Amino acid sequence: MKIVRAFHLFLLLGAGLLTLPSSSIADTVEYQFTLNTAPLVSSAAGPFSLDFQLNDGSGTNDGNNTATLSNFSFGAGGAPVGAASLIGGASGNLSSTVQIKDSSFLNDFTQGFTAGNTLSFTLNLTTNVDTRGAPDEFTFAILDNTGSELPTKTPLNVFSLIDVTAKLHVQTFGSDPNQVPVAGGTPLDTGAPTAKLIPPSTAPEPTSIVLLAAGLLLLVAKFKLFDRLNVRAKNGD
Amino acid sequence: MNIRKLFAGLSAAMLLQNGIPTSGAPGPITYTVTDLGALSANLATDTDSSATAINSAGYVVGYSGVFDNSSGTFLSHHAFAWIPKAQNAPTGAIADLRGLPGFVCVDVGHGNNLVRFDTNAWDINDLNQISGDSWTGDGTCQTLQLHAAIYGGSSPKDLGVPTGTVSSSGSGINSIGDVVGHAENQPGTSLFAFFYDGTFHDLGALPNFPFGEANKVNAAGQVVGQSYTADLSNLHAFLHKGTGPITAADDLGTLGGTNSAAYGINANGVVVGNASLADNSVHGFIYIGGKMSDLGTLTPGVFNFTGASAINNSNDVVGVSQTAAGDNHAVIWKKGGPIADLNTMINPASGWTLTSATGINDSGQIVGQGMLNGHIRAFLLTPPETGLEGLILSAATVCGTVQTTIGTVTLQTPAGASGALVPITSSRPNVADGPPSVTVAAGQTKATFPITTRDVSVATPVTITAFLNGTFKSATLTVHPLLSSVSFTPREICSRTTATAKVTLACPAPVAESVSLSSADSGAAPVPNNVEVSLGKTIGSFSVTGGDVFSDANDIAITATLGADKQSDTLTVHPLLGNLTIVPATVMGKKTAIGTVSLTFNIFNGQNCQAPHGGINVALVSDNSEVARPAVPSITIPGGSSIGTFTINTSVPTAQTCAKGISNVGTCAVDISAEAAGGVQTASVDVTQPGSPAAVNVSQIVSVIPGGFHFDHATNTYTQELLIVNQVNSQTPIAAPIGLVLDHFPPGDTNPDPWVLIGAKDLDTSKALVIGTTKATTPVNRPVVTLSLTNLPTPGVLNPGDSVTILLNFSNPTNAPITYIPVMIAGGKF
Repeated sequence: MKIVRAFHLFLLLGAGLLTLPSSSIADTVEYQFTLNTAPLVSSAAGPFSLDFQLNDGSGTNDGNNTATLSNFSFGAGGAPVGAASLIGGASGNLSSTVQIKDSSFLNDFTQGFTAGNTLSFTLNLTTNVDTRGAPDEFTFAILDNTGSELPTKTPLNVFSLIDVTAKLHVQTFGSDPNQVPVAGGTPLDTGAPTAKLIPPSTAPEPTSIVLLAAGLLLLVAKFKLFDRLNVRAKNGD
Repeated sequence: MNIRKLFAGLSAAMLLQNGIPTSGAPGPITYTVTDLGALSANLATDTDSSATAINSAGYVVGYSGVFDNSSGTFLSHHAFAWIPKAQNAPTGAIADLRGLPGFVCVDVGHGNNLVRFDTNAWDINDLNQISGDSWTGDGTCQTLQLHAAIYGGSSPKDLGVPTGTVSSSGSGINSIGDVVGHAENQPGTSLFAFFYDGTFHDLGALPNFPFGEANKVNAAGQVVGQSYTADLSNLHAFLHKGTGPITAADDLGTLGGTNSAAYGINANGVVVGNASLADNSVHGFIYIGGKMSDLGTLTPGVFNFTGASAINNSNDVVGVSQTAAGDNHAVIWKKGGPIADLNTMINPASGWTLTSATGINDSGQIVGQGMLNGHIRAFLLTPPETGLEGLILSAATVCGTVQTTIGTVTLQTPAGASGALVPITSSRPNVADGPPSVTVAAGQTKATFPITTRDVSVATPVTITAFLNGTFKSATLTVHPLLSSVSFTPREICSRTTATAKVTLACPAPVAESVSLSSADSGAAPVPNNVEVSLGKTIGSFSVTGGDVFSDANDIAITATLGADKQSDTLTVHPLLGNLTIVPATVMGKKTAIGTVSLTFNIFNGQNCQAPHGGINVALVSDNSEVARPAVPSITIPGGSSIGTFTINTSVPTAQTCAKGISNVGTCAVDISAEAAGGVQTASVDVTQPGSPAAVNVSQIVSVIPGGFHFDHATNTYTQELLIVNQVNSQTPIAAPIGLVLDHFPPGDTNPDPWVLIGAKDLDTSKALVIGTTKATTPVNRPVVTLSLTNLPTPGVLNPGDSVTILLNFSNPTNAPITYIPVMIAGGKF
């Protein structure tokens, strides 16, 4: 009886070892975004805010996708400003890491920043496709001092848009150089941000290594325990 | 009897014992000496003149003998003021200060001779107020009194005498017009100092020295003078403040002897005067920090007389000192330092012997009296200029050759006898330049010079610099082109609408200026040939009315030209008509629809163009008036308005009346056009035959690929993009009308959704799509968006492989999930 319980425990742990690394590598994409923000530096439409959204399309707030934004760099003279405004499944801040989970219909992260010459950050996005309704949608926009999106070359006025569909398509848009921001000033011409795909690492992730090592230890322990129990059973203990 | 002059009288004889300087080594010539003249201008017969004080501006006062040329007799001493010469004037001028009424009187009973009595000027402040005295009476020479007076206006102000006294004299005056002096209640028997600030205040005298006399007062109200014993045998200097009585604490003491007198005080309370030593010789002193110090003498160790009479705010002291030969020489103690004979600092060939210095101002100018060609004459010594104090320009900006700019150089001290030559340079002589140099006349501190400027094409700063004795001063002059700009309000207009335009000059027009105008497109933006800027004005206005244009955003360069100056700006002219919409876009049979004509949205103003005054006529045309026709052939959009509406009447289309053919869903498309100002806008209305079948679900053929939802912060709404595609392999063209129905989810839910579809747009044409509600098809009472198929290869038909992209806009104040099932319908009524 004791032998069976211990063996089941081993099997459960072993199953976790096998599935977690596989899931964390295959369903995630990572992009390095870079945007020329030099035109924003002296714009009358500032100060500006970064706006990231990951909105649920399923209608059930299923929380099946997460956008993690990190490695923020604002260029010379740039820096985060103030506190973040968080709606739904958004958390974090621009000084460290931002995480947005589509656990509500609207999941919105907003925080002010002082524009430097270049804005860059890393987006890590899980890509679990909703099976009904609309796709989950990640957007990246910049708000002016009225809280309105800077005009871009898309009616949505976003600099990037990713619909989490089976065939992931990352769209980027430049600011509209012919349209004055709602806050006034002159039209801005940033060009479109670059979104450079970061290839997934071929080596297992650190968490995978830890779990794998733990599994091996359990495997060894199991056989030693099994041997000892067998010996005791044979000896009539 | 003027007791005040008694102590001075002790040295009076010595003062008049003049001769050629015999002591003091000749030094560099550092002063220019000016003869202030005398009130009787005949040098052969005229009388003396003596200067008593000088103010900051170089105005000198004193007294001068008046000689009657006709009778050959000396008449009296009169107060005078000497006025420095103005720039370019040949010399300064001496003026007789007329005395109080009765100072010239008829000596009744004594031959009825005309008698003139003395007037004196003792001090002058920077307001050119002069304190002194004058005899005054009823003109009969019987009731004369000596009264303190303030000269300086058109007539002297009589200060009168303190109560109980019979005479007064004003010796000193400060910068706010307070006067000090002395008064007598019985001539020769009593004397007291007074302070006058509108009323007389009796300052009295020092204890044991009952006769008081005040000589000078500074701005702080500190008074100096001296008090005499009753027998006038001894006197002590005092320094007193306020209008109360002088006390023992005010006694300045002596240099070891029995006598002292204080004659001068500066703004810092430093006092100078004379004091006797233990051996009864008299030396000048300076009293500073509570201590009286011996200023020394030209002949140390020799019993003689030296006196200090005035001090400026740099502690430069002037006075008199006897030489070894017993002659009186004017002297100076620079900064209260060693004594120096002023006769060694002037040109020895000048003919002057300077016998006494009585005043010095902060520029270092000294006045006093001396001997010139055997006559006692007042002199003015002017030190040489030491450097530049400043350079200012009459304007910081000028326009080309239009304005004259004047530069003014200021010296730190008045120019010497030969004047001061000040070189002038320019950083851009071809733009603005002065003369090579400017000369500041002898005795003056300022000189002006003209700056010549030339036309420029861009604003050009020029630095003008003046130099003197190792110092330099600079000032910047910016030369602008006269023509500054041409501009428009607003900067974007529509055809037939008007912008106010103006040309602006950088400076007021020197004459009425005619500015030429030209347009890069005189059809789209006609301008007058020229616009006038009136004399003295900077702006000339004109108007530009947009001509008829057919393509959007015509940027027209308008150029203004004035001489060599050109300025341009761009005026954007839009077509007048911006849009035509028809609502509803689909009508059934004999109904009506409303057409709306909008004028162009003007991006710069953020509003639509407005019809010009008088309105704009818009012609309305149908390409099938049997099926759909405007109720009127034209409408007028009133002046100032941006929108006009009209009614479209429709009829049931038939195969005969619908030239374009009835579609497979029983509709006939009719184009309605609006024409105005050369522009045309067209919109279609689909007229459906009654009895046409209800639209059916074509979702199996036409698929909807939704995008995700994005929250728009600017509008607090949500947007969603959808791609609608007739599948490539469907082999089924779908004709308009095609609708996108937003069916409830879960199916069958009839409750109102928390979100509302508030807008839809065709992203291929950027035009709004019509939103309605399904009535004739299933599901009913659902939002339905009628697609615009005008941008397809076959307008009105969504062929296999064709697609349209639309954008939906939702109001969703509670951020609830927006859930719906897209259903495509076509083939009949919605």
